[in-house]
Amino acid sequence: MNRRDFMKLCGGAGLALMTPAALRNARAEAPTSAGPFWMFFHAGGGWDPTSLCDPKGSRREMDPEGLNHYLASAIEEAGNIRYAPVANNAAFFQKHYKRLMVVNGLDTQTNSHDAGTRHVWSGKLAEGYPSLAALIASTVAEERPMAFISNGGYDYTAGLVAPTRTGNIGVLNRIAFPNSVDGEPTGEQFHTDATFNRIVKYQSGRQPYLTGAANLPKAQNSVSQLFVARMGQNEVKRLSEFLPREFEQAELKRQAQVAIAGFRAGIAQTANMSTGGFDTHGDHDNQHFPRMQSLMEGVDFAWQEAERQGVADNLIIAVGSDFGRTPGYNGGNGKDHWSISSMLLMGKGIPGNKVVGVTDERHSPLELDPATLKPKAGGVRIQPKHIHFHLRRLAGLTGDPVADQNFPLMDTEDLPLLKA
Amino acid sequence: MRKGWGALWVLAAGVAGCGDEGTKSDAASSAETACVSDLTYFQQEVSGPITENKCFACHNAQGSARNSKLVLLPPGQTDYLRLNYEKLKDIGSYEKDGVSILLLKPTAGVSHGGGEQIDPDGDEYAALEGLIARFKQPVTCNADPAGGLLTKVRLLDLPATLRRAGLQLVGTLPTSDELEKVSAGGEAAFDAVLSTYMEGDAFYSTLLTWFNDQLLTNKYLGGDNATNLLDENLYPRRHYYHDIDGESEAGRLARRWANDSVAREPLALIEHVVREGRSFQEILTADYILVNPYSAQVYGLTDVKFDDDTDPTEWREAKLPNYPHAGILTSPMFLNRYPTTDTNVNRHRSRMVQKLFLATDVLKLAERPVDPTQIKDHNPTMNNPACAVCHAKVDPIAGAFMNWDPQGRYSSREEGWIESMRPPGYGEESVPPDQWPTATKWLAEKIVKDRLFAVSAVSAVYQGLVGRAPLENPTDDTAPGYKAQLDFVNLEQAFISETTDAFVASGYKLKSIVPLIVRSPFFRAYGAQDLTDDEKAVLAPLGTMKLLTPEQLDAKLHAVFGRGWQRAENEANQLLARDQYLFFYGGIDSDQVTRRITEPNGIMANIGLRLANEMACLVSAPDFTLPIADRTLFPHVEYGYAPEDANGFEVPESIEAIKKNIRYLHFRILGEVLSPGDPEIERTYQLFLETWREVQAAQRNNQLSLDLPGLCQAHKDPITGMDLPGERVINRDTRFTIRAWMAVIAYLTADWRFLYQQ
Repeated sequence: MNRRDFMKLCGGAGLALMTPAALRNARAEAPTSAGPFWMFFHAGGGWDPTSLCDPKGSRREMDPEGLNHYLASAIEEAGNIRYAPVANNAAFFQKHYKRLMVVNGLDTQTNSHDAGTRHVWSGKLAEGYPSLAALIASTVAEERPMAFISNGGYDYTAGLVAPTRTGNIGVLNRIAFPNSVDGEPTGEQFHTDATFNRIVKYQSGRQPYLTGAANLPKAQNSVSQLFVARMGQNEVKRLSEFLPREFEQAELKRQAQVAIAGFRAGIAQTANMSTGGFDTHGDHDNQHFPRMQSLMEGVDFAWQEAERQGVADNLIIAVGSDFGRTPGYNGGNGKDHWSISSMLLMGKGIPGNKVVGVTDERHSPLELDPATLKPKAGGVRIQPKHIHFHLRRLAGLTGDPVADQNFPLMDTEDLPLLKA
Repeated sequence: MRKGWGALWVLAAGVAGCGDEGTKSDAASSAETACVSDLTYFQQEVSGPITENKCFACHNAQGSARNSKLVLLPPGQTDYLRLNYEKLKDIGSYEKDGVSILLLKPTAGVSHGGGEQIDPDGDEYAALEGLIARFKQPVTCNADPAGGLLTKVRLLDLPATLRRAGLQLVGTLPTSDELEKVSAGGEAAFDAVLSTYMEGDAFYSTLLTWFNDQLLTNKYLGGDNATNLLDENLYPRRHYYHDIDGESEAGRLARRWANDSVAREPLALIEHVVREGRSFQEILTADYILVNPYSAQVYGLTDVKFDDDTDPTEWREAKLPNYPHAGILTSPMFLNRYPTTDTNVNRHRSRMVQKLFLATDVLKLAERPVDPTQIKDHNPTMNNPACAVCHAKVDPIAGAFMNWDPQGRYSSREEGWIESMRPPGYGEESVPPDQWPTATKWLAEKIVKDRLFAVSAVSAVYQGLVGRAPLENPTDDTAPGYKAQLDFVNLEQAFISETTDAFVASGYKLKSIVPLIVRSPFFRAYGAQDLTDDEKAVLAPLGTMKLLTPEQLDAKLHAVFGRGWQRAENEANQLLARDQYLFFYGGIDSDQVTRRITEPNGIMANIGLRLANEMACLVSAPDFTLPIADRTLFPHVEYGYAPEDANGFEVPESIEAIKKNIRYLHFRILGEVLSPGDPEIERTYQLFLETWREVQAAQRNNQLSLDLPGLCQAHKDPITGMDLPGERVINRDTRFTIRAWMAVIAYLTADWRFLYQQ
């Protein structure tokens, strides 16, 4: 019995699971389609797009009005994409611009870290919506044991899917083979295979009793959580087949190795990748640029690893942050919070060498004609919901009852963001 | 405490499984359904449609009507509903010509800066009239705010509640004596047993786990992580233990205890205040720092006397020189855990103080859409309403930390605070200039007198016991499920509010909170009956069922099996070691990983299975080496008790004993009270029997060795740890029952009722 069958059984037996499991019931009849793999890179603390993909240089040295210390004349280009001449940005943009789409002038509508992170990755400023990573995982890969790997960022799931956190990779074999004394597939076992299978079978047989006896909605929900989580217990073994022999030292790269091995093994669908240190209220350039470089090197590494594992053709990467940073430096040579940000997208279905959204010289967003995305007074500002509208479509969530009915993107214009 | 929470429940016949207390009669339930409390009325009829929609835009702390008598709190603020209700009640008492000013102002019946906001002939006016009538003649409902919905909930009976409380509070199972006392003596006996639980060290260990989940100061445990934070010039003996041979036992212990004692100081203060039965307010107002023999040396406090200079549990109150103590607020660990910068100017500290001690997340105040690109004001944090909505609450408290630098060092700021910011203070009140050198002490005194401080303490205990923080008001009334969530929040907040009243009335004795929560439906809810879909949606968050944390699961293993998940005494605890399963199983390190995972994923599910298999292996054979009276798991059988004889005929005496032991294991491991013959006993017996037959056949066919897996053999006495004499060693499964019992133990240990908080 798989997870979806279990939910149908619950419904048929009058054991309708309550929110949020009830939401899943609505999907029980829907077909499963895995679709692309997803990686969401979060720059924790609020990055500075003007030091990356929405460059704003000073007019001259020591320009008191300058948003940045570098000169406007030093701004560089890769195809149609302009980037700031700092943090070794050139290495990333020159390599990836053909598959890269930049969204500038993204209005997060907040200066709050938590709210901004939530808005960018759920598409909604207010609380209550799951991260896109969780929503996708629950929709197209809910039966996979590591459907949603979270290394931080916004990983609220609304109870739709359990996030997976990774630790010491060295113990994964013991996790994958719970009946093996030392985690060796052919080593000594606690129980015979027949006994172990019997234990699992008897546990499954006890589920209706537990669900019926503990009929508080939360109790029923948690019984189903455990049962569903166990459905993939044999599949965890596959992860060990695809993990690299050696792991990178850099945290972001190590996160990428595990996530992509999970994709390759067919047990993971989405992954939150997270790195912090961007909240540079003081000494901005010296503190921020190394973090930015590390972030972009992590994204580059993930793409390389995806190519090595043969999943790059089916991968979508999104890179974003809580919000942006103020236009100009404060008294401590730092930059404070600013609600205008950017997002980078690349991968399957994303048009490359493309920039949408425009900001003025003080990094305020220009309103856009919703039909052409050209600047037009009285038009719209790009908000996270506009991007999520298209990402949901790429993920195959359009028409999904949970996404559409319980977490709708209300009042969202269909902007031609992904038009090649 | 309102009668309602305790009086709502009546005893009824138990249901198979856990004992419960049944539900209230339908007649009483429907009568209470009709009652709408004053606060519910205010919320539904006035707050949402009128004050939040129409009044708040001007009548807020930074709005154009900020100098009027009506200054409303935003929905993001804890307890805003009750406080706004009280504010309106006060204003509603003013009248002109017999008409309340609350009716005259919004209808422009008297001068109103906002003009006419509501129609004197409309529904909103009628709603206000209704509210004023309630001010004069309050409506008291016996039922809860959700109209008696909780009366449909089944509660654990007191013995089952005691088991749940014992496991969560002190990691032990109730003794049979305690269970009998509670069964016979009711709530008074229950409270008495609970009090004894709260006397032991295990309770304080649990308490500090709860509070570290909030403070996260355990980040500095280990190595020199805590002592490195201290200024070497101020504390030249901060690394005194480096003078002791680091390879020696004394050197290792000195380093460990010195650093960890400094790191634990804020939590030790909490324990000290609670253990001494003092007002919980002292955690912020303490005019001292706690030191033990090790941390006293670090701080150079050589005149503090100890009974035992090697005892790290011996804490003493002491004062650092030129250091105006204000409890946790001035703890070096707290100040370093929540540091500041020259441009952040203590705002982060202010935010955390409000989050930790005032149950207020100021960032939520900024969740309404803002557009800083339109901000043109000079000094916008002071002058622009979009900024000031947060900064008015953040900046005065930030200023009260004026004398503490980014490293947590004290340096009196003679020149005062930054003029472009709001003055140091609390709310509308500023720190008097003559108290600037001790501004944080002044702040502490203000905080602990604020009701929100008491709310935060109650919320912390609630989170520890119930497994989640009290829910916050939903803010998006267009979101699906808004109404249901709001109904539950009202229910829960009413309980938090009443528990807070009781806590304050007790003189801020933290232990007083525990029995109130433990005896409430929020802790004891177990099942429900006849719920409609709407009612199910409202009650969705009710119950303590959640995956146990690694720490809780470890405690439960010790309680049930008498040991943790360690292969040998000197080996790592598999659940708690950072290089084993701690992070995979959702644990935290108080540093980079600060949020626990509470839903199991595939990885965690497998860890649960491994735990069950490995524990079954580690405990089964060893328990059989003990005399039957000393056994934890098998007090009703010997391992020679087989269900069938050599000819395949049943052995009734053995079967009866096996089933009796299975019944006992269901209670010990899962807390299930089953009658003889219960289908669940039969199910487990079938698992035993089939496994026994399989193992017997496999061993007779030489497909399976008689030897138990090495890890599962019993060579040591499980109580003394001493090597067993040869005749007591169990290394072979000659009667095929050890493996069958291992299957049973694994089956029960992997059960939802074991792995989840119940």
